[in-house]
Formats: sequence, structure tokens, C-alpha cells
Amino acid sequence: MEKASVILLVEDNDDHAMLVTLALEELDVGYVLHWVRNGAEAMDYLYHRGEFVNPESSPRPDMILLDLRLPLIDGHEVLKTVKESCDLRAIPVVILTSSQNAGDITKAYSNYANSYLVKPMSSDTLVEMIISLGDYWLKWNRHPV
Amino acid sequence: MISTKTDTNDHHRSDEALAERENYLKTIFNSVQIGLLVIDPETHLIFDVNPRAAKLIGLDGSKIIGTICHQFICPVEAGMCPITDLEQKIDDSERILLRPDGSRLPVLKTVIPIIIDGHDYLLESFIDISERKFIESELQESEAKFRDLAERALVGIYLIQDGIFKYVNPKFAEIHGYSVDEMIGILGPKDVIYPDDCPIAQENIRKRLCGECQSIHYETKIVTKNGDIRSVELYGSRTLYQCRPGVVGTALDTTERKHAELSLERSIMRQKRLNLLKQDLLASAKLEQKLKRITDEVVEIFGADFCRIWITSPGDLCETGCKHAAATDGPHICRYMDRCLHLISSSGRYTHIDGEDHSRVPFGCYKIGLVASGAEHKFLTNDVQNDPRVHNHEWAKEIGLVSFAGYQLRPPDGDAIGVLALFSKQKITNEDDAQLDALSNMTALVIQADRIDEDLRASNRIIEGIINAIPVRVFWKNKDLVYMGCNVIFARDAGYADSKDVVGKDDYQMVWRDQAELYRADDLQVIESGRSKLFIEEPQTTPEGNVIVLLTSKIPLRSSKGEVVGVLGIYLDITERNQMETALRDSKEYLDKIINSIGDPIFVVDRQHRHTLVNDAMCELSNRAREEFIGKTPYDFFPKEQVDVFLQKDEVVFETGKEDSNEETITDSKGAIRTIITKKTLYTDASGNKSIVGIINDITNRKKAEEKLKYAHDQLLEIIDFLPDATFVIDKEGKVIAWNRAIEVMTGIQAKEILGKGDYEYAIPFYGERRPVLIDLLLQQVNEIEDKYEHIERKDESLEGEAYMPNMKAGAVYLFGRAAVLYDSAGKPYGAIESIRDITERKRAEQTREGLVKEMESKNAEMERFTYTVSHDLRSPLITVSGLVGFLKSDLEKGNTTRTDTYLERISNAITKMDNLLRDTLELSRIGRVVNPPDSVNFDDIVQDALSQVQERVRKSDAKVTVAQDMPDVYVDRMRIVEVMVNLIENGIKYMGDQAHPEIEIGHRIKDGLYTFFVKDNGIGIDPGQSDKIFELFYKVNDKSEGTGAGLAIVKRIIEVQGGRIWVESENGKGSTFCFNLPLQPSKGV
Repeated sequence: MEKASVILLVEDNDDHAMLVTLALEELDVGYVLHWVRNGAEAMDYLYHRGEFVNPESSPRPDMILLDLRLPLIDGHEVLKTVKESCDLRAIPVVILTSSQNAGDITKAYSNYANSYLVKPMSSDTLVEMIISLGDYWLKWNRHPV
Repeated sequence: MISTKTDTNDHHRSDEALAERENYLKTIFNSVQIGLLVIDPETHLIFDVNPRAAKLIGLDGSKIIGTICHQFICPVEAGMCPITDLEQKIDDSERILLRPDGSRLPVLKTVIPIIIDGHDYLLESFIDISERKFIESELQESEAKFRDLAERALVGIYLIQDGIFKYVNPKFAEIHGYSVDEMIGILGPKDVIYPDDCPIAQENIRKRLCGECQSIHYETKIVTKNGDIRSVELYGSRTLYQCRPGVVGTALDTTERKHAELSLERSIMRQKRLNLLKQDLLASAKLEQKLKRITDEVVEIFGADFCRIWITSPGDLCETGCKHAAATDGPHICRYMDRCLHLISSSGRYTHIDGEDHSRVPFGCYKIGLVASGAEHKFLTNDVQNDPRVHNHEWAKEIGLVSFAGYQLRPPDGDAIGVLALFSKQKITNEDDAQLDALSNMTALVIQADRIDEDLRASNRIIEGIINAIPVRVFWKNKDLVYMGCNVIFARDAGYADSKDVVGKDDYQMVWRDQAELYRADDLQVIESGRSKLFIEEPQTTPEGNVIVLLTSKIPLRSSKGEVVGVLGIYLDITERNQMETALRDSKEYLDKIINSIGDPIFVVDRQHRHTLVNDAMCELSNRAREEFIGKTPYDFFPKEQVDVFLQKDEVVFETGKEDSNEETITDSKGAIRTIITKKTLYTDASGNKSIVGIINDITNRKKAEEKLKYAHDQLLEIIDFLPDATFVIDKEGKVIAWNRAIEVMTGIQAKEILGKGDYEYAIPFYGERRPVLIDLLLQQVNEIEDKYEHIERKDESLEGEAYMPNMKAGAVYLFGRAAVLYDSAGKPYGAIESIRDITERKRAEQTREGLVKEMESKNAEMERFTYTVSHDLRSPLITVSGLVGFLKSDLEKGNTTRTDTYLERISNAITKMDNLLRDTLELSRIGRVVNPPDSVNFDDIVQDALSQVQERVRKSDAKVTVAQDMPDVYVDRMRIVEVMVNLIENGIKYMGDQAHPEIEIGHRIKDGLYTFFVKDNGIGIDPGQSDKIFELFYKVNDKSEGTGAGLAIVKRIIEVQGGRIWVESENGKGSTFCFNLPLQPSKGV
């Protein structure tokens, strides 16, 4: 049996988190979703600190879905940190945000975001988006070991 | 005609033969060169004659035939014919042929009888022997002469045959001491020739006789009859005498000649020796040596017994050691007393030259002295033993002396300088005498030459001494530019130790070979042109390798004939001199430059007030050239009245020696009158000459400038006085020198009260105290006051600043000041000026504008941020709604209703949120737009207002609220600040967290001179990293928490609009203190 992909969702708006969760249900790959509400929690998760100290319960994600406007530690910061970390930088980080701001896009890419997605209005679109993500990053894409 | 009888038969043949024979005979008869005559013996008639005979006779044949021969052709008389009458046989007999013209022809006649036709005839044949006869007679004559000659000859002539003298001439006999008769036929060579020489002689004779050699000539000795031996020179050659061989020759008595030869040889030898002597005497040697040589030679050559030379030393006074000088009487008293003859050379028997009697002979005394003194140029006697003129006969006899000769030594152009004398055992011949005389002349020349040489040497020594002593180098070269001599110091220059090392070398061999070409070129020029080249400056390389400078003069050297034979050079090392000159020149140039660069006219005058020096500035002043000045007095350049003053002052300086500065007037070249101050100083030079050195300081311009300045200054003050802006001027000391009307009005202080006062008097009306103000900043860097001014700006040369003056008489005003330094014509600051303008209105307007601008800017920024935030944040709930609707729809389609409620609730919440967001957004924008005019209100009132609004919540939270006392007044929009306080208090409550005793403190403090209000809680605090973010619009730490997150953004906006600032001081878990400040008063200080 294939190991299920671990997806880390960093999102402060729980409505949005729900949307993503619902969309993910349409994936045909096995996955496990972990959700954190702000940048600080995201860091804790990735570095196995605080409540995420146990790597078993907080496994290394195969993909991170990252919102930009986060309290405490901002999404850009999280991205930067991940991509600067030798250990974590291989993890694909897909920005998932409501911001269409060109500055945000540029900034994200300058911090080596793997992809930048704008949260769509339509749920259908969201589902499509998420399925593509899954296919691409979890089914097709190869990760280093 | 001869005819002979013959037969006819043969006649015919015989006739023919006869005829032929006859012909034949006729031919012979007619052609022979013998004269033929046929004569009848009886009649003595000539029968026939041949042509030859006819020719000889000189008649035609026909005339001869038929004549009688006697007395016709033959001188013999008739009857005396030798043939017929005397019956002589004439056969080759010499006869005479007579000729009709009377001449007699000698003939050789032969007469033979012939028969012609039966008749007897006589045939005479004769030949002409006239020539022979002539020759014979000649020969005879010659022989006679010869004999005569032989007889008289002074050479001996001999003829030897068979070893005997067959003939000798008298001389020959004489030579041998015999008579002719004693010799001829009796003696032979062997008898007379010296025995030792006989064999040779014999041999010689034999040679000649046998024909080995034709003639011989040799010398031999003979013994005369007396037994004397003499020498003869013999010549001889073979001859025939009486048809037999013999030797004939001559003999010459060479005895005398031999003697003479010997004598000559001796004489030549002597001459040679004398020449050699002469030659040797030419060589350089000491005089004594030469004279000794002479006396030695005299002894040798002439065989003298002894020979001596005395020479005089003129000036040699008799008292100085001459024993003869003591003599006071007698024949040998010294007459001259000032010169003596000193014996200098002696050869032969006596060689010593010292000795009491002879080493020194008074001039004019004794034989020697007499000869020397010239009384007798020469004295010669060949009989010393008896000659009365010689005084010591005994001595002469004793030694066996025979002759004495004394010769005066006198050079050709001078007086006698000595004597050459000799004694001899032989006679002195004339020849000897002549030679000795010549020798004495030569001796005199030698002595003279030596004396000249000595003088020359002495002279040379002096010259050498001089040239070696002087510091000038001297050298001389020949035409080939080879050094012939130099002085020592030159030699050293050349790198040699001694002068003689230089001789023979040329310049290429000297240490200055680099300059050789240069020197040689000059040398050649001098030699070729024959003219001196003087004072050439040229370089020279020293033995150390340095290059020095020389001053050289080259002069052509001429022979006595006037030809140039070389060049003489002298030079001095002028390197130092040059250096000094250069230094001096430089120094002089330097001084000149200095003097001429001084802008003030400078002049020097002598005691007679004539200019000796003027600089460029002086020349410019009077517009004259330097040359025009020198030697002239000022009267030539300037008006009399002015110059009178100058000179008067000059005199004072000359007299007193004291420096003087005097203000005078002078008219310059353009006719302008200038005011000057002339400083005059006395200068006395090393010789005591006095001069005055004057420097003119033209103060005309200064004076003018001063006046102008005064005028300008007064003008300026007038202008200042009428300026609309308040203006005052201070001088360097800070004293007020100008105070215009406007500032009188502004400050209320009158000019007359403040003029001349310093010590920041001018600050009083502004600040109420003495303190530096803007104007002082110019001249000093006073840091404290810089801070008191807003916008201090240095613009160009001035300083601008603004200040708020709360304490002015007219009330609080905003003033703008501009201050600048004032410079005089020299560019030096002499004071400062400040202008002050009341800009209160402007400031206000500015502030208002600034405020408006700021507002607008901030509004714009806000707007942007706002737009962004709103669009972003509003979008969020939209996404929620839209997404959830979508899922709801999809669920419903699938018939799944489990989550429907959740969806709907969330959708509803989202919409509510959107509404709230919109509301707050509007609120925020409203705050930005609408501003109530601020007013002064006590802060405490605001706090109370706020508390009353939140009273319910406060109560619910059990929070304890404390409010500070002595709240100041603030100048704000009251309602807004109340809102702020409400918000902050609410936040404080909201974020209490688990705090058991929630407390909220509201207070104020002063920090850094600023008033700050704060709301402090002891809640959960804020992470320091978030302290800025929290003021961002719609930022929420916790999304789920109450509100839109716009609260603090709104608060911040309000505070900022009021002109304050808000920040938070907090730490996680330690509560938060929100601080902000507010304007207490309308505006800040000026």
C-alpha cells in the first residue's frame, strides 16, 4: 500500500480551511491533511516544536499549502524560512491566497515559492485546482528522499 | 821613251809581246809613285821622266826632258856629280831635288845604270821623303827638346837595360847623389835601391820587361851616394832601346813630400783632435770639466809640458783673500783691485789648481796677468831659458823647458776673461801658435758660453722658480702639439708627479683626454693664425674625475726668425670663481627679483640725492625707464615743491641716521597727485658712502578708499534705516552700529538707546536676556543656539533661520531672520547684519498647508492601503460564501445534506463579517475625511467620557481602572480622542486573557520633553514582533476573535490626524501599554 501523502495547510480563516478540506476530498490519491492556523504554528509543526513535537503525529509534509496573510508569523516569512532551510526546502510550497497583488506574487517567487494560487470564488474551480495540485505534486512529482 | 831591241819574228809575236811588254812597262813607268828619271851620264841630260817625277819636280815632263840635271834637279854642280864624278853609289841615299821654283825637296834616291838602246843611261828613282824628312826633323827637334827636357827635368828620368842605367837625366843622378856619368852605363837599380826593397824592384822591372805589365808605378826607398835614405816614386814602362827591351821611366824624390805628408797628417790629426775637442766642448758639461779637457788636449796634441787656464771673476775684490793684494810696491802691485785670475785648470806636469802662488793671479800682474789684461794679447817665446821677458830662467832650465806661450781668452764681443798658457820642451811652431791661438779663442767662447749658460741657467732657475710658485698653470707645446714643458702645478693637474713626465706627451695622454680635441683645436688656431687666443673659458677633467672650469690664454711661441714653433698656454682654475660668480649672480638676481617684485616703489639715492637704484614699481610710478633714473635727482621727475620736501626729509635722515616715515604728495606720470608715505632708511656702505633707501607706500588709493568707504557706509546706514524689514548691524566686537526704524517698531527700542552697545544687547528685546542670536552664529559656531532655530540654512554667504518667539512685546510671533557677514574692501569681516521678518502669518499658512498636504498624503497612502486591504479582506468572506455555496450545491446535487447547516451558518457568518468590514471601512475613511476643529480640553474630561461609554463592559470584566491626576490640557478633536480611549480600554479588556485581577491604568508622563498618555493593561500582552502589525487595518491575531481588526487602525489614524503618535510597549504575557502623545497647544515653539 502506498504511503499517504501528507499535506500541511497553513490557513487562519477556518472557512477557507473548510473549503480546502472539502476540495481535497475529491483527490484520488491518499492523503493526510494537517491544518495550522498561523505562521507560528506552521513553524512549530515543521520543526516539531510545541504541540507538534512528535514527528509521528506531525509527519513531514509532502506539500504545504500556504496562505500569505497570517497572524503572528506572516506567510511570506514561513515561505522564506522553509526555502532557506536545507532540510525543508525540498518540500513543495504552494501559496494559496486570496491576494492577487502583484507585489505578493513577486515576493513569493523571490522566496522560491513553488507555485502561487489565488483562491477562486467558485467551488468548482477550487476543486479543480486542488485535484490538479494533488495530481501534479503528489502523484507525478518526484521528491528527493 | 824606252824601247828595247827584239827579233821581228817572233818579231810579230815578239813585237806583239814586246809591244805588250812595252806597254806594260810604260804603264808602270807612268803610274808608279816613284819618280823616275833617265839621265844620260855623259851629258847629264834628262832623257826621260815619269809623271810622278814631273809632278815632284813641278814641271811638265816636256820641260824636263832635255835639261841638264845639275842645278836643275840636283843641287850638285856640274863636275861634282857623286855618281859620275865621285863614283859614289847612291842607293837609298838622301838627296835633294831641286825645283825650278827654288824649293828643295828631300828625296831618297837610288841610281842604277840601265841600258836603253844600247846606250848607257842612269836611272834615277826617288821618292819624296819630304814628309819623312819633315817628320825626322820634327822628331829630331822633338828629340832635342825631349832631351833638353829630360836634361832639365826636375823628375828623374831613367832608362834601364840589362840591369844598367843606360840613360839617366841629371835630376835622376842628383836624386841618387851621383853625377850622370857615374851612373850611366855603370850603375844599375840594384846599386841604388834600398836593400830591403830590392826584390820588389827587381820583380817590377822583370814584369815590365817580360810584358806582364806595361807600366808600373811604385814607391821605394833608395840609398844615396852619401848613404842617405830617401824615398822615391818610380814610374816605368817597357820600351825598346836600340831594338832591345828596356824600361824607361821617371823617378820622383818624394822624401820631402813624405815629410810634408807626415807633417800634414800630423797636422790633420791634430786638427781632428781639435775638432773633436771643439765638438766635445759643445756638449753640455761643467765648465771646469771642459777647461780641464782643453788643457789636457793641449798637453796631448802639442806635446806641452804643462798647460793652464786662469779665468777672472769680475767683482772679485782683491781684499777677499788674494795674497798679492798685500803688495804695495814692486812690479806686481795689483792695479785693478777688483778682479783676479783664478787658476781653474791645469794639465801636464802640474795638475793642482790650488796653491798659494798660482791659484790666484792679479789681473795685470805677472806674465799671466799681463796677457790677461790685454797689454799683450799673446806672448810667445821659444827660448824661455834666456828670454828676458821670462823671469824664472832657473826653473825653466831645470825642467828643460824651451818655449812658453800665453794667450788671452777673449770672447768676440767682450773683454778678456782669462788666459791660456803653456810651457813646452819643444819649440812652438807657427802652426802650433796659430792653432793654440784658435784654441784660446775657442776656450774664451766656451767660457763665455758657459757664463751665458750659467746666466741662462740662473735665469731659468728664477723663471722656473717663478712659474712653479705662481698659482697659474703654465705649459708649452711644439707645433705638433706635444708638450715640451710645463710647471709643476700643471703637471699635477695632468696627473703626473713632475714636469718632466709631461714632456713628450700630448693631450690624449692626459687625464683630460675628453677635452683634448677642444684644447688642440685652440692650439692649432693659435699656431696657424699666429695670434693669441686669450681668456678662453673651457672645461677640464681632473685626475679625480671631476670637471672644473679654466680660464686659459694661449700665445704663439716664435723662433728667433719669427716663425711660430709652438704655443704657450697659461690657465687658472676658475671653477670656484665661477661658482662664486654664479652664486653672486644668482644672489643678485634673486635680490633683484625680490626688489622688483615688491609692489611698492623702492629707490636708493646717494649723498647728492642722485638715484643709484630703482625698482620696477618706481619706474612705473613715474613712467620712466630705469636708465633714465640712474644718476639723476628727483628734480628731474617730480615737481619742485614736492621734491623740496623729499630732500629736506632726506637731509634729516642723512644727518641723524634715524629712519623716517613721512606722508607726502607726489605727482605721478599721468599727472595725478598721489598721497604717499615714504619710509627712508640710511645705509652706509663699507667705504663709508651714505645712501638713503626709500620705500614708497602709495596710500592714495587707501585714502580714497577710506573716503569712499565712509561715504558708502553712511549710505548704507541710510538704506538700512529705511528697509521694511527690521534690520540691525553689529561690528566685530558685537556692538550695534545700525538699528533701523523697522526694528525700533518691532522691539520698541529706539536706535539711540542701543547704538554702540554690545554684549548681546540686541537679544534682549527678543529673548528677554542677553544671549547669542542668529547673527552670532555667523561669526561663531555656537551650538546651543543652533538648536533653537528651525531650519537653519546656510545660503550663499548668509545664514537663515526661523524661530518662534513667544515672549515678544507684541505677542508670540514667528520670526524669520537672515544674517550675513559684512566685509570691508580688503575682504576682512568688519561686522554683521541681520534682517528679521515677522512670518507668523506665513508660518501659520504654511503649517496649515503642511497639515493639509500631510493629510492628503496620508489620506492617499491610507487610501491605497485601504483599497488593498479592503479589496483583499473583503474578498475573503466572498470566497468563503462563494465556495461554500458551491459545495452546498454540489452536496445537494448528490443528495448529501449532512453538512448543509454548517454551510449555511458559515455563509451567514461570512456575510455578517463582510457587512462589519464594510462598516468599519466606512468608519475609518470617515475619520480621515471629517475632522473637527481642535480645541483645548483637559484630558481627564476625555477619559471620563470614554469610561462612561465602556462602563458596562468594564463592570462585566471586573477590571479595575485607574486614572492619573493632573491631566494636562490637550488641543484636540475631543470626540475622536474619546473614541480612541474607548477603543483602547476595550482592547485592554478584550485581551486580558486569564488575568485574575485585570487592571487598566490610564495616565500621562513626560519623556524627552514630550507629553505622553498611556493606557496600560496587565493582560496577555503582545509579541514584540507584532507591535507594529497590530495597528494594520483588519489585522487580527486571532481570526476568530471579536471585531474586524480595524479598531487599532482607526485609533492610530485618529491620533495621527491630531498630530500625535501611537505605539505599544508590551511583552508576551506581561500586559500591554498603549502610548500616544497629543498636542498640548496650538503650535510648537518658534
